[in-house]
Amino acid sequence: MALWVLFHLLLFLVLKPTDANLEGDALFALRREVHDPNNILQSWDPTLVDPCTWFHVTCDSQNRVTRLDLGNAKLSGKLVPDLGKLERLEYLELYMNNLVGPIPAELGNLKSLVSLDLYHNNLTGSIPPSLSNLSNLRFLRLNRNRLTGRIPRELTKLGNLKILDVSNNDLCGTIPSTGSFSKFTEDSFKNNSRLEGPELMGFVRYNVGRCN
Amino acid sequence: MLKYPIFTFFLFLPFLFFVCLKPASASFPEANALLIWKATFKKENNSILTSWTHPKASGSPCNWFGVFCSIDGSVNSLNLTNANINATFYKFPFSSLPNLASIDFFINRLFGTIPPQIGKLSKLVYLDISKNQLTGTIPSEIGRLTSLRTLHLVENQFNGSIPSEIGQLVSLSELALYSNKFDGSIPVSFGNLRNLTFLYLYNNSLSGFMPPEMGNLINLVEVFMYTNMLTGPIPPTLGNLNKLQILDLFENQLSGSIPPELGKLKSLEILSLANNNLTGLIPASLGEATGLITLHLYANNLSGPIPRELGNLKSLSDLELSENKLTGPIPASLGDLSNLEYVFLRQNQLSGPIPSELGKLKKLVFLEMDENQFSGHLPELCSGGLIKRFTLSNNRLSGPIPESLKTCSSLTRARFDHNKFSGNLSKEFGVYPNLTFMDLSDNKFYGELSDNWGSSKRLETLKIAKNNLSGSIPPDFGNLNQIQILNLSSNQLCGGIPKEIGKLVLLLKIDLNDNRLSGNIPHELGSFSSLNYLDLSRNRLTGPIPKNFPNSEQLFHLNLSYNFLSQTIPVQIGKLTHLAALDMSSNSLTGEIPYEIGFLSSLGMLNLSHNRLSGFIPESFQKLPGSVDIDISYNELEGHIPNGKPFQNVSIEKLRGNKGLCGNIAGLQPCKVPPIKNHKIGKGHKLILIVAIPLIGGTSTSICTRWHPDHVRTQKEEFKRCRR
Repeated sequence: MALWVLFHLLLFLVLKPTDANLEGDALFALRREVHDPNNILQSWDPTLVDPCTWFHVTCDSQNRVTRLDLGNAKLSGKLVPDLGKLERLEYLELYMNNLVGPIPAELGNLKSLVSLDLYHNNLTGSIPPSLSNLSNLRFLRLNRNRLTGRIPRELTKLGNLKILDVSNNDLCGTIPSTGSFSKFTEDSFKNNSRLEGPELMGFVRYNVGRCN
Repeated sequence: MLKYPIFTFFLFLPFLFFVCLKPASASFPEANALLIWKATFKKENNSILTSWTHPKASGSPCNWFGVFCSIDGSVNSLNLTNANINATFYKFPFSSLPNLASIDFFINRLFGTIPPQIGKLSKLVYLDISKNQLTGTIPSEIGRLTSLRTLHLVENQFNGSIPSEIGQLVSLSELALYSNKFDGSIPVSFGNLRNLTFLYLYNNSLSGFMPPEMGNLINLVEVFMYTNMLTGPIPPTLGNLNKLQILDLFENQLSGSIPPELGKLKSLEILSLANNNLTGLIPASLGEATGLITLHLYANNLSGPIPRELGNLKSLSDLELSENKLTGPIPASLGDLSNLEYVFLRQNQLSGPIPSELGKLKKLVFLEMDENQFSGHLPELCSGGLIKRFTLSNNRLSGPIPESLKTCSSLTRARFDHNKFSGNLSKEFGVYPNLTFMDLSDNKFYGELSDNWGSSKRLETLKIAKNNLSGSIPPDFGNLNQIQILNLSSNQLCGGIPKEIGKLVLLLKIDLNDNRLSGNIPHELGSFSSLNYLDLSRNRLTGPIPKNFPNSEQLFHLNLSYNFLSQTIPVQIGKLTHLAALDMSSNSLTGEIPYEIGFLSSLGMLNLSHNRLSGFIPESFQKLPGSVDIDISYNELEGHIPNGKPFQNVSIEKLRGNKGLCGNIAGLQPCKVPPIKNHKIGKGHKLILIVAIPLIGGTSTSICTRWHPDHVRTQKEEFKRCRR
């Protein structure tokens, strides 16, 4: 019986002052998932009222997270879908780490996102079509990963997209060339050995089979 | 007769044979039944059950691992904790183990549902199938287990409502259903469980009201129902539970007010009603629950004052009332709670002074009262020397910092920001060997930054912005080798930026803007490789921007505006591929805009206005993101505006005041001749520059003294005042 009491008291203390600070919880989910050899997430204390005093986190005047700057931080492990809850996030900078696993489709919920930099990691799986919901996105840099599958044609509706880089991956299928994609050169797509080249409008030739 | 004894012996022999070799009649079918169940187990790597084989000598399973029998040889207990069993209950011998009193299958990989046959185990006293992968609902037949004293179904995937038949388990003393997906209401029939001592329903999706019948459960010692979706009021009948030690209803949607009847609970040690929708007053009668050690009422809609009767809770060590709408003062009686370690009153509408009686609390470790309307001067507060977290920000406090806080060496995190504290900063604070976070911003501190700060070596965040500080930044700040955020902006600091700051390699954010800092930017500042944010704007810095500066590719914000910086923009600037905002406006920068600026592929804002930049706008600007906001007004630029997105919608305000810009923009003169190719300075242009520079130099010095009349004079004055 004493063990039960002790166990519950411990749980109790851990659940102390987080006041439904959803953004802090979402970020803390990332901290729990990744491996952080340089301890750069040491300041990420979930008992604080909000994450706005955590290092590498920037908030606006209403204490909502606007930037996450974790580039070149030797982080490994996977991204967490909880990141999609940061509704005012503008800059998600996770480039040059050792992150693995897929890009969570939940990142498509980041409606304030301006910059998504996941380049230079070990991410796998395909580019989620949900990223096409990021209507404020200007910079999308996913280069130097091991992403596969097609470039979702839905991304062409991202009207604010200025910079796209998906080079150095293992993407396949054709390169969309309409909408915002019309301004990108082949530099944005190079070094994807199975990428076939720009889609040819007028030829209804959607390949099946070779590219999944 | 004697003639036939051997004959009779041989007649009896077969009977003897049967009697000796026949196994105890109770065990044989039980062993078989268990083996039938075992046969359904998926193959796992466990040698634990190798003992479960068909017996050769006797039919008894009583020596099998995890099987226990009573004296008559019948199985009465199965204990297979953590045995890696991967199976269902569908072939479990519910009908064949009539004497089974205890099942403990805690931590296995049992899956599937609980069959209704569970009701056949009429002698069952103890059932624990926690931490498995079981699903489905609890069958109503569970109500037949009228001998059951302990029921643990913890940490599975059970769903559906808790069957009201549970109310028939009149022997039940311990009921644990936590961490499942149970929904629906708590059955009213729970009121019949008179022997219930421990009730753990937390971390489910239970909804509806708490039944007032729970007030009948007078043997309850612990009730954990946190993290559910319970609504409605807290039943006042809970006040009858005079053995209750823990009541945890945290994180539900309970409404109405806190029943005063809870004050009757003399045994209550932990009361958490936090994170609900409770309204009304904190009942004064809570002061009668004198066993209370922990009282959590935070994150509700409570109003009215903190009752002074809470000063009677002599055992109280953890008081958390934050995030409500409480008004009025802190009662002086709280100073009597000599066991208080944690006091959280933050984010309320509390007012008045902080009572000096709080200085009596020698065991205080955390004191957080930020975001209220406290006024007056601080009393002595760290008399016990144990306070680690001390937060008073966003109040209306004034006056000096009391002596006990100056010497409070236990401090790890302190926030005094956004108040009206005053006093000479160098006298108000001492050395804090464990301090990692200090924010004194937005107060009325004056005086100088003392060397003490450099001795608080664990400091990671130091913010003293928006005060009246004078004097210079001590070189001793270079000892703060853990510092990551430094904000001294909006003061009257003078003198130079000490080069020792360059040693602080962990710096992420440097904010020194809006001061009177003078001298050059030390080239040591170029050594930061992790710097994200640098603002030195609105100072009196002179000299060049160092060539190697800045060196951090993660820099996203660089503001050097409103200084007297001269010479050229370093070409290193092109390495800052993550720079979102670059402001060097209102300086005396000369030379051409480096071609390398075109490499700033993340740029959202570029302000080079009000300088003396000359030459052409590099064609590389075409490569900048199309949405970038560019201002190059009031320079000496000429030539045509490059094509491309960045300049497509630019307005004339951002271009005016230059020497001879031309292009297809409203307000700008159109280019007279076909545009000269504006690539990196062509050789042809160098000649023009060689001739032009002395001319421009001559005119600009005279313009310079007119634009910045105080420049030279102020410098000399600063050197006099700022000696340190």
